Amino acid sequence: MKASFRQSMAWLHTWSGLLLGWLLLAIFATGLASYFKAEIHTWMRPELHAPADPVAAMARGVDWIERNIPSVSEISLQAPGPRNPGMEAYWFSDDGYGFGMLDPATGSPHVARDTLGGEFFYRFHFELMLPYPWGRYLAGAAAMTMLIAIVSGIITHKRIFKDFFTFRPGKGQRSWLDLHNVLGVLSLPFHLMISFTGLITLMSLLMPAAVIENYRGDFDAYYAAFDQAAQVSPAGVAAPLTAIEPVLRDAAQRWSDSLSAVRIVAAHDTASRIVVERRLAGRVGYRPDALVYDGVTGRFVAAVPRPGAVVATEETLYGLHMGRFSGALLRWLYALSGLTGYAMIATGLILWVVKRRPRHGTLTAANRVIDRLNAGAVAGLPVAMAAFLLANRLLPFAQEGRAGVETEVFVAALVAMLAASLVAPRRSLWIVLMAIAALAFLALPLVNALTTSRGLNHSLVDGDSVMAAFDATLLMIGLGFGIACAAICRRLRAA
Amino acid sequence: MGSDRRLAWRGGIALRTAAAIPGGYTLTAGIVALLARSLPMSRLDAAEAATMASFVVFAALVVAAFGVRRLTVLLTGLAVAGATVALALLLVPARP
Repeated sequence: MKASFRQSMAWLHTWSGLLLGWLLLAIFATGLASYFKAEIHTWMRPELHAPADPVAAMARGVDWIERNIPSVSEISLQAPGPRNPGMEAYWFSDDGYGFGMLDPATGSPHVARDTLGGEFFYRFHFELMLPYPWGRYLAGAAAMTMLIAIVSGIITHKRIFKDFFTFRPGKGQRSWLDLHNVLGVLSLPFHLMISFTGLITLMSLLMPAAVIENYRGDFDAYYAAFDQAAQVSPAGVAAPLTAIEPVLRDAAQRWSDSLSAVRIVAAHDTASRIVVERRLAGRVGYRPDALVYDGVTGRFVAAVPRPGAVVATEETLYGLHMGRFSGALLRWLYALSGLTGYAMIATGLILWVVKRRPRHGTLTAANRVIDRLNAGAVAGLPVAMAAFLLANRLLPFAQEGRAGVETEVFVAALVAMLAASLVAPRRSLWIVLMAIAALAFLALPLVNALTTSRGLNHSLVDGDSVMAAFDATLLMIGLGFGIACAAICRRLRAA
Repeated sequence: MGSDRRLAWRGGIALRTAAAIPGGYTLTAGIVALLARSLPMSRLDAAEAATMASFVVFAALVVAAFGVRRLTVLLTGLAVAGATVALALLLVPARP
């Protein structure tokens, strides 16, 4: 390899970073947004409002599904919460799988506009809009590459402790390297954790050897081992489902924490079971506690025991990645760490090109394209995300296939930004792209106020904290891009 | 760099990449299967523990593939490790 181990690791770091840098930008952007998945759900469905009684709302949701989905056999419904009033519901019937975001007031999925909401960024993060399992494989490869990039980056970084916060501005390549290092080092524990735990979330797909060995490749049997409560074989004898609300009230009474979900297995069968779940406040481990009830009589059957040490370790690693246990402050720290990761990758991509700029003459044609696409990707991803939110407000409520059109707008906006990066004059490239980003984000709270009754003019007055904070955040992001744009403008004029 | 040296360099990179990615993954999978089979825990716990550890093992193998100075040392090391794991999988009985 290279003359020294350190130089070999520098080579490995550079190439692993470049090959999947753009993909990792997309994964980081959608991942950090996903820490606010619930808030995005809320903002994108302004028709839904928080219920006074979450348990009654859950019962209404189950009732709607019972009455409107013929021959339903499996139901799963998430409780409404302070961050998202809607109830995410999945069901399985003779017509296959169904999904809806149920209105807590009526239990119906048709009250809110048809949108994927926060689920779009969340799924993009690990599926990349590709069919199963290819998206997950690619995301897994990206995560592994990132882990390699981090490990090789640490090995390569001489004097990593002495140089912890070195930043020498105004020195071209030296400054880009310093910025890349500082961003990497600042959130190093986060980056190590997030890439390793990201692999854990996909682990049985990426490394199936253990399941093949211990379960003879029977993945259903493996998954069943984690979800003993739901392992119910329908008896084939029809029986009506008991009233849900008393079961939920019983569970809420046994637990002092609020419920997180209810699942119904083998519905309308004598063997049916109702599983009520809660997420214990402050527990990092991702799998919820569960109480099992008889689906026909409503009688309590058992509490699902807590897992042993090894499974608890896996749950905790999973939970660390999801960050669902976190309160508001920690959630913001997660997102800001993700943002430093995004900036770390962006500066790494810029550094890659800067290092290849010859002292005299210009970059090769290929490097000129990479240089432009770097800008297109770094600015284009946030613009695409803003375009998705704009489409949510601007598409008609009753439009056919609305949710799909919103995702198409995301893709179109990203492609447009990449195309723009290839044709814009190089000197003003970053200024133009940053200006577009600033306008897109600043427009959002305005469009929200003009098209709904939950804009800042209402949410601040009504104490509608999720909507108000969301709009305020969009404004901040827009201003941030505006400031970046102005700063680049000033530097260019001075140069 | 002369074209001969460039070819040798690129050949080396290609070989190391093959050692790292398909090579490293296969060796890791073998180690995972061995651990899943032999760790003194329940079937589920052993499978979980082995899989969680796999990413550390794979990362170490990739770093080694590009960090080990001499190609011959790398390839010999991988061959010995691979043979050992293969032998162990043959000799250690599978779970009932």
